[in-house]
Amino acid sequence: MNIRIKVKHLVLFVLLPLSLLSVLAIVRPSFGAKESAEALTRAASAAARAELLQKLDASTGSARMELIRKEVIDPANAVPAYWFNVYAGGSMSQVNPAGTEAEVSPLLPEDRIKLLEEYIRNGSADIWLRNAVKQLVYEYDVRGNKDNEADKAIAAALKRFSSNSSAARELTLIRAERALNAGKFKEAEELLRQSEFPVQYNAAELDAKTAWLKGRLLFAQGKGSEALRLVNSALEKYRKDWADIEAEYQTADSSLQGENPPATGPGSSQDRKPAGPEHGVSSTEEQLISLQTRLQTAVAMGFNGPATITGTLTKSDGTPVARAGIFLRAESDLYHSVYYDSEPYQIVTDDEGHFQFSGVIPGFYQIQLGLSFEQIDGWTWPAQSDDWIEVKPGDQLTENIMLQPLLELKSPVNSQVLTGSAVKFKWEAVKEASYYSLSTTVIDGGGSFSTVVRQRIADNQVTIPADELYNSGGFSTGSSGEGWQSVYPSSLLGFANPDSRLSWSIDAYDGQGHVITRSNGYRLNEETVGNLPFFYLKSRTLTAADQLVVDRKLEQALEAYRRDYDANPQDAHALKMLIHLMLAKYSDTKDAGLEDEAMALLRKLVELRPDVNYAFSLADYYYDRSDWENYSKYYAQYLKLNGEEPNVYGRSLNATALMLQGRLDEAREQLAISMKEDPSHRFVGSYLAAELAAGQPLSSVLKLAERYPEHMFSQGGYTWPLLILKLQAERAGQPEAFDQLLSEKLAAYVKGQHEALEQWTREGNPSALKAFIQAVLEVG
Amino acid sequence: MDREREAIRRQLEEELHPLTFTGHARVLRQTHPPALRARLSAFWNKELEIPLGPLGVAAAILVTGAVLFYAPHIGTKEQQSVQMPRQRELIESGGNTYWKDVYEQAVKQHEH
Repeated sequence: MNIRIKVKHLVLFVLLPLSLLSVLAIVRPSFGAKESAEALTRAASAAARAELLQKLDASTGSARMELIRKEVIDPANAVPAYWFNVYAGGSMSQVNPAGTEAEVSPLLPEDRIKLLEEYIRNGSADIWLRNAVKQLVYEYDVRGNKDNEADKAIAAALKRFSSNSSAARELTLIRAERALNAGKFKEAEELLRQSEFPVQYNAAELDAKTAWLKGRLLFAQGKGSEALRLVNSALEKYRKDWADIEAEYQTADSSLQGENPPATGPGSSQDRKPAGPEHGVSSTEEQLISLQTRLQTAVAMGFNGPATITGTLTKSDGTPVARAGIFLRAESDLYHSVYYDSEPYQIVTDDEGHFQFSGVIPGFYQIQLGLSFEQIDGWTWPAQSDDWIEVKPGDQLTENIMLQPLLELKSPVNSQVLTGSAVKFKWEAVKEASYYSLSTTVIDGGGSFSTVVRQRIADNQVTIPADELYNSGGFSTGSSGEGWQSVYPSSLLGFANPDSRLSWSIDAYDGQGHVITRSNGYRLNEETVGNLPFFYLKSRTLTAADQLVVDRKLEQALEAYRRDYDANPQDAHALKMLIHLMLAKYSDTKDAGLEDEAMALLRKLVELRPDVNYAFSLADYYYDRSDWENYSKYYAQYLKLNGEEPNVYGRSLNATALMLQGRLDEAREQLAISMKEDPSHRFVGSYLAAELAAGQPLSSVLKLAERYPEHMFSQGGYTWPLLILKLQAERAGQPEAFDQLLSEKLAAYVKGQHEALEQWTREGNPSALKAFIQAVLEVG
Repeated sequence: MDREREAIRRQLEEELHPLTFTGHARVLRQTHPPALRARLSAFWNKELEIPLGPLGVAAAILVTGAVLFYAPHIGTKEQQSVQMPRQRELIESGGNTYWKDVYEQAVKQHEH
């Protein structure tokens, strides 16, 4: 059988569609895979949404409320509000991969809002209604909280509860907190007044929460000392209340368990037992302690009013990042991770990425972000640990946050094997970058060892000789902490092990020394994975001694290197490894003879293979021994090898060395430069001591202490100002006697009589001067 | 005279009888060549006769091939979109954070 077809029909209906299909298949082989996977997910979620909405439409009355509770409120309650996949900040980052397990609701925010509103109108007045209110308020905040709809919703929900119930009090406190955070202090005061009624359940938690809000409000109204007194007594009462409850629990029989009082946070309401002495510190107690700490510092510094911080979170292409968490975290709170839904300053960004905090107690803060995997994928927030926001009374600060695209590495990447005598690193140029720094990590079976290989690279490529890579990291070591034999081979051999997998990364800096972007970050899909930052350097082979290191026979390796070096005094590698092993052993055994021997060998190595790390190690060694002649020799060599400019640590160390040599003015000059260069202000104590020793008055030294905060001690950035303030107070009694004692002790410090001073600070009655000198002695 | 001419004409007709002139079209094409458009149109409207048997076999082979090639992909994709969120694991490597499955795929591409 034949068919008859005109040419035009053949082309139009057969050949054209066929060729179109094949072109699609060839040009975009992934087209089908990707788009359809996403389309499938989208379609599935749309179908699930339609099905759920239909199910809801079909039900009425209490069955409908039950359905909303089960399908809308319950799933969202499984994760607390302000819970994010990734928490990012300068001092800390945290991942919650568990989030991927959580059910993702197919409902859109507008569906949820409608259903929650309905539940609040018609659902039964119980804990689920309270949870529904909290969820609704969160959704309102995300969409911008127009006309303060969130507060109106809470006020409306309040009418559903009996006026003296625990839930009514809790909701009133939420209103008060929202008013306080919005800077409406009068309204917050009125709401706090309304919340003061006795309740049967959860009284201790609610009392504590009330005090926490009142303390903040009092401070915001300029009554700092009153706020501190209130928080002190509230904390005492809270601890006593729980001790009483705990005692009751221990004596009472198990029938009491049904009345287990719900805690305040939604995250804590289901699974957390009431906090008693053996349960550690509850989040409520932590909150009160944190507030107490911040109030103490603010009162001591004489701060008497709150501040406001506003900003927007965007990507560098201008897209606002909505539904992201912004946490303003006080210096004293940075040691712990972000609390779910109980941070003092937490907010979720609206559609424009906007956020605002009011009533902020002055102090040092850092911002941390809460982001979803989708938001952070391929992007980075280049915050650094030294990025502090100094909030002063009455400040109205703007802190705009911008996510930056990760920069891409070009070569060597993807496990490339290199054999040359140098490695040429290349990466994507970053607009506005003044310079880059290159870090590497050596990965072997026993662990990994990271080091910054080059800083201040002007170009987006650099060639580094293999020898320099072998020396990178100096003589530092990493171990599992079980004696010196447990030192990781990766930290000893580093790049010299041709079998080690190596990885590298780049940070791009602007002219002010701030990181603009980096190569390391979240790379979660095929497009953002980019080049893998791995390569192998197989320019040399392992010697027999090296193999002993790999096999973790370090004692034998040490002897083998010694033999190699004796046989060939020009063998720089054997000499370097010998010294490295000796120093690793010394750091464990503290056998001073070993260190001296290693340093004598290092003097030979630095001649054989002049390296900046070696020269600095020698300078540091002679600094500790006040051997100024040798110190100066090696510091000079270090400077020469480092391009005639010391790094920030080198400059500060040299400044102290100058001071100890009696060259006070030169030391002050170097310390002044170091303060500007080093954002950590690690040596500010030495600087203040040098200024005082040079006869500067306490008032001008106080200004320096405030200008260069150091964030390492318990009182953080205010440690040194507070020490100076106490010196001023102590001086006020007997100025002449104080001045004489101060200059006497500073003279001893400058002369290096540290042990005698140390002893003096511990003898007799404590004083502000002793505390100051003690702190100065701990600098470095 | 006329009769003679008539006789010759008849004889000629008789002799030429088996021959017919079929070159009209060719002559016309040479004297009046058709426009390109007309030629294209002619080709466009030309009718082809295609035997159905071989065509059917070719089509069957194509369809089977396509189904065999795409079917497993479609299947796994559906499964992945349902299962992946639960099974995925984050790993940190070379200072980056990856989904394990994406990372392993990338490594497979490059590792020797």
